[in-house]
Order: sequence, then C-alpha cells, then structure tokens
Amino acid sequence: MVRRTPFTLATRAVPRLAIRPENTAFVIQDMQRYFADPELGLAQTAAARGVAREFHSYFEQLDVARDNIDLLMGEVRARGMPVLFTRWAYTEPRYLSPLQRSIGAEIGMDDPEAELLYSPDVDAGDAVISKTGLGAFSSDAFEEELRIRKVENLILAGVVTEFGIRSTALAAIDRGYRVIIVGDACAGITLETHRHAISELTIGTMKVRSTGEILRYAEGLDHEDLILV
Amino acid sequence: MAVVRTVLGDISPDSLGNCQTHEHIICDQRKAPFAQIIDRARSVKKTYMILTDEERAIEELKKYRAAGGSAVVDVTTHGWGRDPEAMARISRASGVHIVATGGFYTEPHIPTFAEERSIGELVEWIISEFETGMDGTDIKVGLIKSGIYHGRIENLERKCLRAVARASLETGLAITTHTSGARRYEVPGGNLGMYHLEVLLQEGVSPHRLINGHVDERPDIGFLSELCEMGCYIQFDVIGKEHWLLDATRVDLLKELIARGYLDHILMGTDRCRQHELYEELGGKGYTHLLETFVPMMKEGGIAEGDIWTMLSENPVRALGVEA
Repeated sequence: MVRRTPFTLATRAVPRLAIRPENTAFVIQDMQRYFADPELGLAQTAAARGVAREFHSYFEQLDVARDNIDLLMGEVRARGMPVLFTRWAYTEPRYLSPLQRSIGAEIGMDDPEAELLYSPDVDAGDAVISKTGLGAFSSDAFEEELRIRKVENLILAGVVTEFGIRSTALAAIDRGYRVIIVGDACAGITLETHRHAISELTIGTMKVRSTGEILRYAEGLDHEDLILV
Repeated sequence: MAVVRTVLGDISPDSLGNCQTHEHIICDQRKAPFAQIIDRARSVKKTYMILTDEERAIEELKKYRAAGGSAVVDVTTHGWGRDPEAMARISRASGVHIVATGGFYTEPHIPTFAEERSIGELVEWIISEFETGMDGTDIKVGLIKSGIYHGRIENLERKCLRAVARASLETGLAITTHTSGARRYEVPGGNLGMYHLEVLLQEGVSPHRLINGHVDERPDIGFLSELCEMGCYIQFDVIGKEHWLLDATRVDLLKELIARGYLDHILMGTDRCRQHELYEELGGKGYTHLLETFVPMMKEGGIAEGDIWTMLSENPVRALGVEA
C-alpha cells in the first residue's frame, strides 16, 4: 500500500532557516552502545532470540549514519557550534521509567549500554543528557541546556528515526525550535520505517536535509557566516 | 518548417502521435558528479535512479507502443547515464520515437565543467547538442532542461538556468523543468514555476517555451492557473505516483483546469526512473500506466476524448516543435 502524507498539500510553504553557530546546536541522539554496538543491547537481544537478520537493515543504515555524523562533527566543531549528546539511560534506579522497564531496556548511566560512541569527542562546551523517555525533551535538562546556549535551531542526527528522533523533532517544533533532521545521519529500524518517518517529518519549521547538502551549504563560507537552509 | 527532433532524426509534427513528455529510458544516478549531496542512504535503500538494461527498455517501450503510445521524451541529461546511441537503438527496435534532452538536471547531476565554464560557453555546448549531436555522436536533443534541487534557484543551478534560457532563445527549444519533490513543501505554490519564469523573462524567453514539470506533486490549482495565464505549459508528469497525489485527484485537477480554459497548456507523463516504478515484477506500473489506467480514469471522470488527445498529442507537438 502506498504511504501518503498529503497534509502539506494544504499548508503554507516553509521559509528558510538562518543557521548561525551562536543560535544552533548539533544534537546527536542516543548514539550509545545499546543502539549501536553489534554485540550489545538491541543486537545482543536480537541475536539471542535468533532474529538478528531483522536488524541488518538497521545496522546498515547505522554505518552510513555514523560516517555522516563524523563528517558533520568536523564542520560543527570548526564553527564552534555546541554539541548535545543524549542517551537513553536513567541517572538513578528510582528514575527507571515504565517505558524502559516494559521494553526491557533497563539501562543506567553507568552501564556499558549507556556508553556513548562519541565519548572521546565530548568537549567542555558540550552536554550529555541522560533521559528515560524516547525524545530528548523527556528530560528537563535538555531544554535547559538549549536555553543556556540560546539555541533556536537544532540539527538532529542519531537513532531511532521513528521513535526518538521523531519524538525530539516534534517536541522541538512544539516548543518553537526549528529543526533540521539530517536524514542520512539517522537510522530507522527498517528502511521503510525510516523513510515513512522522515516523510512525515516534513512539516512546519522542520526540514530534512542530507549530510552532503549541509556540507555543501557550508562550503566556502567563513565559520561565523550565516547559512541559509 | 517546424519539426520534432528525435534521436533518429527530425520528424514532422504529424508523426508524433501520443507523447509522454517526461520519462527516463536510460539513466544511472550512480554516475552523478555530485552524488554526495544526494542522501547517502540511497545506496542502502537501493532507490537510485538506474535504468541501464537496454533490452528491457525495448520490451517496456514495445508494451507502451502496443498500448497506443507513439513517442516519449527521455529527460535524462548529460552527466548521469544518458546514452544517445542506446536511445537510438531502443527507438529503432521498439518503434517509439524518443526525444532526447539537453541542458542540466539538479545540482548533484550537473557536470563538473559547468562550474568552470562561462555562461556563454555553456550556451554553446547546449546548442551544439541540438545542432551537431550529443557526446561525440550525431544524435541530437529536441528539448532542454533546468533542474532545481534546492528550494530556491541560486548559485550553480541559477547559472545553468541562464545558460539554458539563452540557448532556448537562440534555438527555439522548449525548456522542461524539475523542482525537487523533497523541497516542494518549502516552495510557495509547490513549484518553482514563477521563479523559473522570472529568470526566463529576464533573458527574453517567451513563457510559451517553459514546461513546468512535476506540477502534480504538490499542486495548487490557483498557482497552476497563474502559470497558464502567463502562457506556460504545466506538466502532470508523475501520474501513477500516488505517494504524492492520488490519480483521482489528478483527474479532478485536470477537469477543473480544462473548465478554466487551460486545456492547451497541459502536458503529461509518468516519470518512470526507477526499476521498481517500471518493472511489473517489482511492483512497477510501467510506461503504459497513463494510457491503460489513467486515460480510462479521465474518461470516467468526464474528460472528453478529444481533450485527452489534445493533452497527449497536440500540446506536445506545439511544445516540442522547433524550426529545422
């Protein structure tokens, strides 16, 4: 069955976003070992149940996403943009959420599954936010970090497109932020769920761009220059 | 004397017959010079535009011919797999006229020389594909193209559009356009038609040389009417791609546009560019979808047979006709 998303047939065209290092943050969502380690977390459970093949597409996408996040990090660092990392983990056992418990992802911030793939790359100006919900805004600390930095725009990458990324993006636009989702720096559980989620996230002050496009926008511009997306 | 320039030579307009004015017969997006701008997950998704099987192309166009089709425009431009000699062989073997396209597709597909050369040099190159032939052959183009990837016409794409416009002025060739579907919701009216027109008018090109492509991806009938009022063509060229719009909605729009007096501005196609859109075994609707499925829908929806013939044949003759 064809998946249709006709809502934007009846909405106004979305204006350009003005991206400046001082009003934009790069959010790398949940790139932690639970979601990204082929021997741990999601992958481990799937293998134990004999259904590892079901996640081949996810890990294929993840490989591409990781490469692209690395490319974007280079540009982001060069422009002095802050990076906010999220991870799905409780800070204390009493904060374990019903959601985490129901899924069987009872991950504490000190557990191996909570370890960020980018741990060595966390700079002093960055933030690492532990949350127990799908979306970044499920932790009050996330929006606090945005406010401190006077962030207006989020460049969003990471996992899982149809769950955490989607949740963060929708909550962000609800709160008045503008969002650029880097489509090929995200991964969905399947290609289809990723594509469907992405197609549904082209609404209002939310845009989807590829890594290559963003790098090309930034090409040749000085680090403090405005980038129009 | 006006002719339609096909890959097998010039034909009289009377010989054109039913013509789908936006298709791909041979293309390969993996060859795109700036492919890195395209979503890299395409390689994982396997949704690149790749049609390289010549024998299969002949087979598909034979089906199209059997369904009543007479001609197609292959809008694949230089730089991402256009193959003039293959098009000529396919045309000969299938009996379907193929009109080839010069100019430029969207930024990821623009040849690298377009950045280095002046607009004047690009104009000369475009004209040479019309007068002498494509890619070292004597097979000529019969249409030129401007493809816009971003939500605005700027930078390299604007430069290429200017070159295409000046080439159109010198040759009389029509300009067919592409606005990227993913950006469509960011563009007022869902289509860059008015922006294309603005540049063309600045260059002195008449609106009746502009074919606005992909208008049926995110249509607004008010906006389409304005384009027609300005004298442009509007092209419903993703017929069958219902993730954009239901075919039934396309029929509604066409009926209304005809009622408003814009019949002579309408062209049609199906933009088959991926194997899963074309090959039946992959769920594709083929080049025949328009004639075998959509035409009956139009008739059932109350569009007169004569009007259907106008959109499928008379309008393409006027759009594609050039002075020999």
